[in-house]
Amino acid sequence: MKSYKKTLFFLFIFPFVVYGGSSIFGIGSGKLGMFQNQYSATALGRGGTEMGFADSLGLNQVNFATWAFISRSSISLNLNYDGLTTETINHKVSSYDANFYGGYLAMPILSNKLAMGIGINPVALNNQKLEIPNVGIDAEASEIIETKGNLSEAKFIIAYAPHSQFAVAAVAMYNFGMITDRIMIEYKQTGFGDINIENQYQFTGTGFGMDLFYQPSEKIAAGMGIKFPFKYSMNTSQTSISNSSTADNFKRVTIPMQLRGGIIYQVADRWITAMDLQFSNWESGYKIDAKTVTDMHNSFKLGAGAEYRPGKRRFIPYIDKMTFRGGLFYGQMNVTSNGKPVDEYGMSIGLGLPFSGIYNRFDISFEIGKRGSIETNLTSENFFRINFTLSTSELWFEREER
Amino acid sequence: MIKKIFLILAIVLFIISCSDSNPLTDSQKNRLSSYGEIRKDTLFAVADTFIVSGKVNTGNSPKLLIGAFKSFETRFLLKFNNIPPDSVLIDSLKLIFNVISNFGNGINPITGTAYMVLQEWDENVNTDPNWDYASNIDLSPFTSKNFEIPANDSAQVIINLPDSLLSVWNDTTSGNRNFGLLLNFTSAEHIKEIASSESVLGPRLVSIYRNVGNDSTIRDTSSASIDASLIDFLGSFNNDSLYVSAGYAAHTFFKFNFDSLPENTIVSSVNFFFEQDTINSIINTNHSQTIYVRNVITDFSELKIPYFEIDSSFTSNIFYIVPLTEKNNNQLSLDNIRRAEVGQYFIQSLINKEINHGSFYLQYQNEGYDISVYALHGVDSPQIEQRPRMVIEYFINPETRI
Repeated sequence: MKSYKKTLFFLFIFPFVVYGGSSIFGIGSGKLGMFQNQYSATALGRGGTEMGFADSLGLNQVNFATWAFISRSSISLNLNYDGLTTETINHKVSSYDANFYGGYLAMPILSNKLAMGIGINPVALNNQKLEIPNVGIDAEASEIIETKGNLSEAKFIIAYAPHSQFAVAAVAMYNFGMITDRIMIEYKQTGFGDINIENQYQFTGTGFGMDLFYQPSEKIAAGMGIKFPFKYSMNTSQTSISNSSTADNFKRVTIPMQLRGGIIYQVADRWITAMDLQFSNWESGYKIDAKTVTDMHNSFKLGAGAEYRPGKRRFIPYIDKMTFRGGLFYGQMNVTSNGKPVDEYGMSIGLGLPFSGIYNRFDISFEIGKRGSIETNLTSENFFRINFTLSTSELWFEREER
Repeated sequence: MIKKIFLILAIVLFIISCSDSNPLTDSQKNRLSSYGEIRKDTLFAVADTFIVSGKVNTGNSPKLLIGAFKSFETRFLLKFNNIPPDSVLIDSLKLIFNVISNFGNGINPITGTAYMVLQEWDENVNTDPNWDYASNIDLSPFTSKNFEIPANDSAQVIINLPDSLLSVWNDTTSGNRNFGLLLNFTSAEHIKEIASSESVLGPRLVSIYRNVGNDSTIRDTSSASIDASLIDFLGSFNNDSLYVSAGYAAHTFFKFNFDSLPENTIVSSVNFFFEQDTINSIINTNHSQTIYVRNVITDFSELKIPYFEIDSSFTSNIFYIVPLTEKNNNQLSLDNIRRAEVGQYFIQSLINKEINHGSFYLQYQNEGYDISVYALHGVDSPQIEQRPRMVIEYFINPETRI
């Protein structure tokens, strides 16, 4: 129990120090950062496929219906480390960020039938710094724009399996976060004072989602999920030497519906293949004060991957207890750049490393990929991401045998 | 084991995530258009006036003035408290003073007379409307002495004063009668500037005398205890121009209208440009041409009344009084080093409407030292480039990004 207390502490403290892993494409008028589903390292190792997986240990972080089948209380914690190289026509810069990507706690109420849980994770990330040179008129100056912050979701989940092949989950979400833009004009000549402006956007809102899981046979399973549109209440405040209050305002930001679905198929005894697709109608569904935001694009992401599972026998070498994963992903982001969609594609590999028995696992995945291109979007990003998920479970509320 | 892995990961990721990254140089305007822009505007003054305050205190001036130039007439008073007693035998009594500069055209010797003063006066006598020098001097030849000051810019002048002065100055039978001397000019076409008692070269009274019954001579030198110049302005200021004047004080007021600037203007730099009206100016090159600009909190329409209030509300006083200097082309402007602070504190407060009215008051740095008249072109000047104006570089952040 002591280890659970400690992990619970980190679970609720760490999301407030999340920094980055963002994209330059997430910056711009009306943009809230880079939106993405927070897949576990398990899923990311397979190219981002998780909808059809009812893992016996690691908590599924995008299809909560699978939680109905857990028999032990479980915790999953996610960490990652991002490297990002952003390139424009005449400049290139690299940045690195480490993040805590949230975590989940699930508890069975009725073993393999009914479970409930909570979780928290970032959904939109901002950590970018841009410099626009030569903005001064009578003196040389550059404008530096720094945006930081994230939007997060705190979730309450109930998952129920009326049948051993079918489960459904309801997800209530409290959405919150803060994004801070710092605009700095730095002059390089005496007689011109630097300018500093800070715009702070605070978000709160509630949302709702539903997930389904269906496994018609041992070899095939599928999942679907929907996150319904919801609204953020956004309060903006500005700090500068101007006392103008024109920037202080309140807006309603509508986040569009998100649909996701996936399927897995067991091709051999220990081989499983999977495919996931997610879609969100950002072009028409994303609104600020009921006005559609321009330069948005309907996002989608298609992932496909395979997993080589551990052997089922009990006394086998450690390498046979490990899980090996690999996958590919392709999609388009929810924004346009240079008026054109921004492609995102890449590949991933992953490992599952059990430890301390069969109820604990450490998953790690490594992704490399690219977003946009200089030819099409005037900007491109090459990224890598190392993801870690720590999954552990134990029996809670179990009477000790004497 | 779980705790160890988690702790190591947390520490490593925290350290990495705290690192800052370099900004990406990007000039993709469509992405950044909502981050504001730098603008430069020229604001012309919308109203002007000048107020003649008139006579000023000359008691603290490092100069004593004698002569006449244009519409100015000057003469000076000085008094010695340390004088030889009446009981001694005077061999000689000399007034010595040093010419340090000339002000005016056609520099020639100035002739004049030193008169004994009959009435009490103090160093602020120049501002006393009831103290008339002509009715307060003894015209008797027994107490007067003619003198001539050479044309040189630098010269020592020695005047042999009549001995009878000492008997009057020592006579206290009907109260103190030592009221000093008035040095008046007989004819002059320029003004001599003489070192005052504020200077080490100030006027001295040198007396050589013997005590009764003792043939040895004693030389006694005393410095002037107080002195002051009397300055009369016999002309009038031309209403077609504006005046900043020293010796006979005049102040110019300009009103600027900041309504044309956007409400959320953030100032980076400001410079004033005030053009000299060379025809109406009487510039004394010996006088510092530093002119202070200060903020007026009296409504501009009430400035005709010779009463107005100067703002001194800034936390740091250096910002409410700002020097303008003449760089070239008979133009007053701010020194480079002051433009940022003037813009970001002085002008920003007006734009923020923390200080009302937006009127500025121009005065010579030193008004009581000597005579100089700086005439300025006003808002109705036929040539636009001669009109008083302010060049302001500012950042405008029209709306927040989201």
